[in-house]
Amino acid sequence: MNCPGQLSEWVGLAVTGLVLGALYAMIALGYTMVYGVLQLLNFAHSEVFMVGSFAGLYALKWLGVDQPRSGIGLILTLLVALVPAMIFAALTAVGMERIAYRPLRKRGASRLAYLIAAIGVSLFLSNLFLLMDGKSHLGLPFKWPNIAGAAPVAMPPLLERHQVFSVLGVGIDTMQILIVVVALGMMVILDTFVRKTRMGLGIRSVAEDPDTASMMGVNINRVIVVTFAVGGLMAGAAGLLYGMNFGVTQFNIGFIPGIKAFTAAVLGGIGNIRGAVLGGFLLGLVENLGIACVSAQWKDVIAFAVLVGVLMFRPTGILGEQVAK
Amino acid sequence: MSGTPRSQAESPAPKGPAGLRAQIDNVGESLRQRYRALPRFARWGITMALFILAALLPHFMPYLSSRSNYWVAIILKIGLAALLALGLNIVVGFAGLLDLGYVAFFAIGAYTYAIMTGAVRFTLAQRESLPNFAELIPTFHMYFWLILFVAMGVALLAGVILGTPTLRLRGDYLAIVTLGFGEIVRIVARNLRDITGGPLGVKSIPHPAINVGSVHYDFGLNNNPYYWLVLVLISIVIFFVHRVNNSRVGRAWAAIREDEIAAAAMGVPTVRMKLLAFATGASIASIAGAIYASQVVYIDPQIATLLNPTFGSIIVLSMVVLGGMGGIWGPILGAAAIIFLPEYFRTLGDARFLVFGAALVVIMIFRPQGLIPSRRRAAELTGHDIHEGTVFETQHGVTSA
Amino acid sequence: MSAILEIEGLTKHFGGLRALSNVDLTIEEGQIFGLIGPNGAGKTTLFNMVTGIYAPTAGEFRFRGKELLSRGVPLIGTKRPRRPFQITRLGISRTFQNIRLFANLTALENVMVGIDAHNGAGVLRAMGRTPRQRREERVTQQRAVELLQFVGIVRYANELAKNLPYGDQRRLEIARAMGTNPTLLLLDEPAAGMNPAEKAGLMQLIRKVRDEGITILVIEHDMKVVMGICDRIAVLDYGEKIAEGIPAEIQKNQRVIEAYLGKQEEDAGG
Repeated sequence: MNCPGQLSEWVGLAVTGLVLGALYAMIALGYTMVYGVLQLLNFAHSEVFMVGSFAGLYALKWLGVDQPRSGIGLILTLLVALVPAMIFAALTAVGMERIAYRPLRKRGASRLAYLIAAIGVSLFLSNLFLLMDGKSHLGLPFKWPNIAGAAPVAMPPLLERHQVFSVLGVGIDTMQILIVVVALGMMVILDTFVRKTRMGLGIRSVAEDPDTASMMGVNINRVIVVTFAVGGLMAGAAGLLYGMNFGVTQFNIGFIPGIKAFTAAVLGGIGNIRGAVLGGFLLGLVENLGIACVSAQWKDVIAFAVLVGVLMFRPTGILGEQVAK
Repeated sequence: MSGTPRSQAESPAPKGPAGLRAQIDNVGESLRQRYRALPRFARWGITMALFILAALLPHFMPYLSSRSNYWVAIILKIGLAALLALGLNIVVGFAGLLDLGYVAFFAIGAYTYAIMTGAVRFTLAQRESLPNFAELIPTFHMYFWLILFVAMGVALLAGVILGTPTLRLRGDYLAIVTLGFGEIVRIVARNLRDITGGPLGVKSIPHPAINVGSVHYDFGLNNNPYYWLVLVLISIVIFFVHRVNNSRVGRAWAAIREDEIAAAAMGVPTVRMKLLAFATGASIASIAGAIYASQVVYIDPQIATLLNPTFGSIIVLSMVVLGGMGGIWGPILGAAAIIFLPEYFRTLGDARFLVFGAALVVIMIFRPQGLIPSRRRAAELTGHDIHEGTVFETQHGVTSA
Repeated sequence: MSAILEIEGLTKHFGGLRALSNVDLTIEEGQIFGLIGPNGAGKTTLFNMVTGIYAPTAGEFRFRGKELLSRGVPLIGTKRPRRPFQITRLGISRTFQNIRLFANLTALENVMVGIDAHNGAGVLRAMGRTPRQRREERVTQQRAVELLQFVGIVRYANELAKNLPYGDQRRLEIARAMGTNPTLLLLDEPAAGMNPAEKAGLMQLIRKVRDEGITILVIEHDMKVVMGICDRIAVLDYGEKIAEGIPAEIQKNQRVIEAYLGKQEEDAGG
């Protein structure tokens, strides 16, 4: 065991953790909201995230980003790129609800059936992007569009990373600030939406007690669609930011962050929106501080260990779960 | 259970595709009833005949195809996959536990075998070019059977350790936790280089051998003995499953699937029963893993991935789902279909998972009970008026007044 | 007569909600004891605690003199109850307010699950075809048939539980609960949804069950049924016991009448 000696190293790890945590939180919101309303673990939410990152990537390409921008240009470009990232992700989410989950609801399917269907959707979407590599597949006579493929695809360099200021000996750079700011901003908007709007009230009531909600005149189908859409919006934005942070995106970038985001949602209390936020930041922190003394290759194991630990000792999560009973 | 046939009204076949489906179901059901009505020795006879037919398959292969070696390898693969599917069927189909980390037990079996035969030690020595590495070549053929038991034991232990805290969880949580466990096993296999050989894997894993008295038979590279071994194991598993299903354990599992709280209230030790299913499935997977390792001679952490194209948890789950949960022949048929079809339809190629994903969704919507479901599962998965059916269930009775 | 179930100071809080406050109850062997009260009074909660589904916030209860709460790992403010299946094995069984049968098992299989409670849980033994196993399985099946005959639904033995008529489903639940060989049987609104003829038949059945030597604690809303079969009645309102006594006393008890009338006025929008 060689633990870091200097405080700055610890702080550095904590900063990385919080930044990643912000991204986990955004993805976790999608998991937690859908679970709250449908008691469905939407396995395929990780692919919603992935779609958002690709959509953002191509938006940046379309905007002709080949060099870093700054100032107003940066902000405008980012906002414009966020829009398709979020919208395509939301469309994917709503699409999977329509095509896969709603027929199951109509047939009164068992929980197992939902889970298996969700796995199927996840497989389908990630492999769809895997196969979009410009070659022909399945013996079909045309070539698939070359927008993804097996290899990582480079993200246009919109933001130049340089240190902005330093805290306790650790430099905080532009990308980190951007991520945290955007993430926090979106989470505040979401929180306001859920607490202050009628639709938000509808979501909360369905999450609490769907039978009573529908008797009170809440349109359950619409609430469900909106829930998926909102979760998709958040995941799409996270996808773009994640891609920008690591410089690349890939057909399977959803897999590990997806599991971690779900862990975060459970950690904070499934169905609980604030819980997802708390869980995300907490998981990011724990994960990164956890590898301080051991090599980085154990990072994922720590996240899973947290998951198992939470489920064993406090299955309702830190802030308590919010699911229809 | 009583031997009188079920009073099942055959539904009048509606028109159209639903009608076709119903007609197929009716034919299947009448076949099944006729089979069940046969006296016991006749049923045994049919099963024996099937077994003998399957055992002779490698001999018939040259007459069926010019590439007979290739196809024998395929049916061996099907056999291993069928073992896995039967094992997972116990966990998912009987006890209703969604185990997404099933492949971890397969890997545990394979690695236990590799470690205990000394293949890891040899591989590491060779890599580091230690002077005497040649002496370490594994030759412990005769302990194959003992090691098989040890591998089973290790997996059983792992299953119990993993299951005890987690099997009380809700289904979706269990799915994620087991998924995480599967990933952990893979990562551990990759990271602990000195124990498992690391990311580059283990090689020179010895083949099984029979050394009893004057009989010396080394499995070697011939596919046939592995195939027969697997066939024997499948038969054992089928026998076991058939017995258990018709006993109070099978009833307990069905009760737990139907309504866990009511089952507990009626004296069913739910956690223990779930653990039983889980551990049994784990043991079967590990035996399959050990046999696999002994045949392919080289393994690496890739065998423990969720998405491994042959034995990954997702694929095995697809076999169980497609073939029909809860029955005996369903998973076997599913294994055969999922391995055979891509070989036959070469055009699928790397789009295999794409098609699988879509197929899973379609099956869940239109025929969630799979191709050959057990009666109970068919009733459960297609019925609307059951307690655990809809997603919007409320906790009946337990929380009011 | 000895006390079968003694409840002392039973309290249950769900967060801020006081489901039960300091309830004392003693049920004697061989009684048919009624538990009544307006909706939400805490009756099913009491059942759930006795059968181990919830842990009480405070209080204790003894079954045949034996403490039902085990120490275990103490959580804040609660003692850990034994697990439901352990309590069933001790001799307490129940039915559910909203019928929780194993829908896709036959009536016979439903009852057999109950009987299995006392058959031990070994897998290897379950698998064997030794004479002992075969006998055990046969005995289980025979007993299940007997119980189905006892409650009057043996003609449905091979029918899937979900296909039974409503009233017979309730009888099946009783048969299944009896399969566990209970000393104390908790019935949660067994007459709900029945027509008068079915209710009369149910009352007869409950008396028959008691005559088999089983003590019965029954939650019920139908006053005719309650007054007709119960030896003794306790009344809960808002989680507190407000009265206890023989049916004649309860009928005339002012507080009880107010509790019910008050509820009626509330419901009527008064």
